[in-house]
Amino acid sequence: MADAYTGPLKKLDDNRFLIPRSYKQGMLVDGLIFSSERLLRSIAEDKAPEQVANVACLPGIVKYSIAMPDIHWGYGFCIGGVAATDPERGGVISPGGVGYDINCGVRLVRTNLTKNEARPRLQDLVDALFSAIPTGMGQRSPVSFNRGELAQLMHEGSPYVIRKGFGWEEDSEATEARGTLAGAQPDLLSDRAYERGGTQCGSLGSGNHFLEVQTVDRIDDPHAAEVYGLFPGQVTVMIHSGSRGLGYQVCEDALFDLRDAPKKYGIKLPDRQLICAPFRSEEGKRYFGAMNAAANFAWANRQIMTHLTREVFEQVFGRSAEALGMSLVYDVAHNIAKLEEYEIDGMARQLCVHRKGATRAFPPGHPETPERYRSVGQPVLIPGDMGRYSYVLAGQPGSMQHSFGSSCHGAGRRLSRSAAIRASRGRSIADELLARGVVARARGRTGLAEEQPDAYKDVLEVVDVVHNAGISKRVARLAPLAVIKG
Amino acid sequence: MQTSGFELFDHTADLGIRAIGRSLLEVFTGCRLGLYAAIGQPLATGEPDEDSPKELSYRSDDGAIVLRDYLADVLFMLSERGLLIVKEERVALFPDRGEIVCAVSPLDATASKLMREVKAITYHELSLVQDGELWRAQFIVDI
Repeated sequence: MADAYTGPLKKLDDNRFLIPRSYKQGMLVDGLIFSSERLLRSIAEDKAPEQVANVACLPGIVKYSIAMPDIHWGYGFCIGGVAATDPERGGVISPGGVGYDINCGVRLVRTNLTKNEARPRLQDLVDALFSAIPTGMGQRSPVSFNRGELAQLMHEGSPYVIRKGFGWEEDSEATEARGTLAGAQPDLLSDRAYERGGTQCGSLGSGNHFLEVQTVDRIDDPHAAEVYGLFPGQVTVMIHSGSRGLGYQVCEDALFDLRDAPKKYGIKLPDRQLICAPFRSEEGKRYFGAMNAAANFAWANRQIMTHLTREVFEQVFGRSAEALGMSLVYDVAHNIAKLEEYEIDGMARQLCVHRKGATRAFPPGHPETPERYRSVGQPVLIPGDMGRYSYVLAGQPGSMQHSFGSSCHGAGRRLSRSAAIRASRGRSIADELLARGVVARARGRTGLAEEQPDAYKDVLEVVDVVHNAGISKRVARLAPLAVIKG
Repeated sequence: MQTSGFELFDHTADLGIRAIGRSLLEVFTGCRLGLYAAIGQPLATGEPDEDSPKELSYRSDDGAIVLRDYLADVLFMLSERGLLIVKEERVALFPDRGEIVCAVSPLDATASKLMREVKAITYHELSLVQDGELWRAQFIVDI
């Protein structure tokens, strides 16, 4: 991997470090990294801060090129990066600022079960989930859509599949953007994208995607937890997945479509992987329209898996999902670009906010936060690793002041995949997890080894930074009971 | 000195592949085999696909981009069509495009061991260079 970052990192306070715009020619704004001193040491070991500086060169970027404390190296943009550009001032849109897996995100489903009620049935539950939810390479959804249906699905997002019977009407209310981004243009997608998407909506994927049965093992903010419908010992289900092969193809196609755009629009890029076009250009509009379609696909994907999960719980526990209280807490995207309004220099401006490995975190009172959560702030779902814990946070006012309404998204890897596989030799990760009380099933031969807990940093370190920075506050900690992976 | 073949290497959360060859065809073959090795052990039935040999063409003045686009097609054919490239028969680079002719065979799903899902061939650290009498290539895949 590349050498460590050796550029400036000026401490602003215990949670924020600045890369001044004087660091690199072409930087239009400063870089701002949310981190602790301790995390910063590992952050500087890869080139991610350099990528923060590169993103600061993008035309129309506003205020800062931002990175969250789970920042690590990515393609063009770092993962954990946030960048807002102003379309009215030549601001660009960049597929690298969203990532290949458009609208990769997380949703959390609550139940009224307790850990003690669920434990005796955990193995049955995991086996049934593993059987019902397609995971891993080549696994297709039990639901397929023809081209016309897929186009409609991408117009509407999760409400479309809810209407088809895959969920409850109220699920949309508890989904970011209500599960639908307006301006989706599925007609822009290639035949290849349609081919990849037709059989994958309702499947988990592989890599770091997972479906995890959890228990609320600590409450940090009792009032917010109560508003979110969370209680100690409660069983919850977290689903981490995205737009599958369709989203990847949309990104591939966009990278091809935009190949000549920087030259055409006179954009000098410090890294060709920051490929971009003015938001208002034809290329920019095409990418945004296609990206919105893929984002809607991802919400439909997670919605179908929610439905399948409810069916499994009904089968295992012998009660309806309604009787089990399996409502959706929330669903958040962490790879996306959205048009959002912010006050800049006293004026309201609509900006294109890129979040790549960063989660929206709207504060109390924000009109886009569901009404029932508005008093405490939008739920922010932060997966950790399958051995330790994940977190539920609540968006706070600091996010609007400092990070364009954004917070972190996860733990970040500590070991490369190969290093994790080497570290697992002679060990049974499944047995080790079982010894910790976690039942795990994975389809791929390397899945558990590559995704073992030791491969990840401790998500608490990341969460503490955003909590202390006033971006989003800790509400509850969720410990894994069972997990299925591709 | 090794003059042909491939190797896999760590790259943050993903995987890198390097290949070397005495000709353009050999290095393209090495990249394809490296990609398949990253996925696992995909094996072909040995029967030619009805579309074999396949003629592929990619518009670019950059040979590395031609390589990337070819490997993206290799990946798509395996993951979506269940088809394997079993041999590159011809690889040619021109000032504005690249052309590849390859033999294709269906995947033997029973005999194959597919370990890992490769989701994309990225542009990161992508290179195809002629180094004396050898060709060297490198690419990173998104897992």
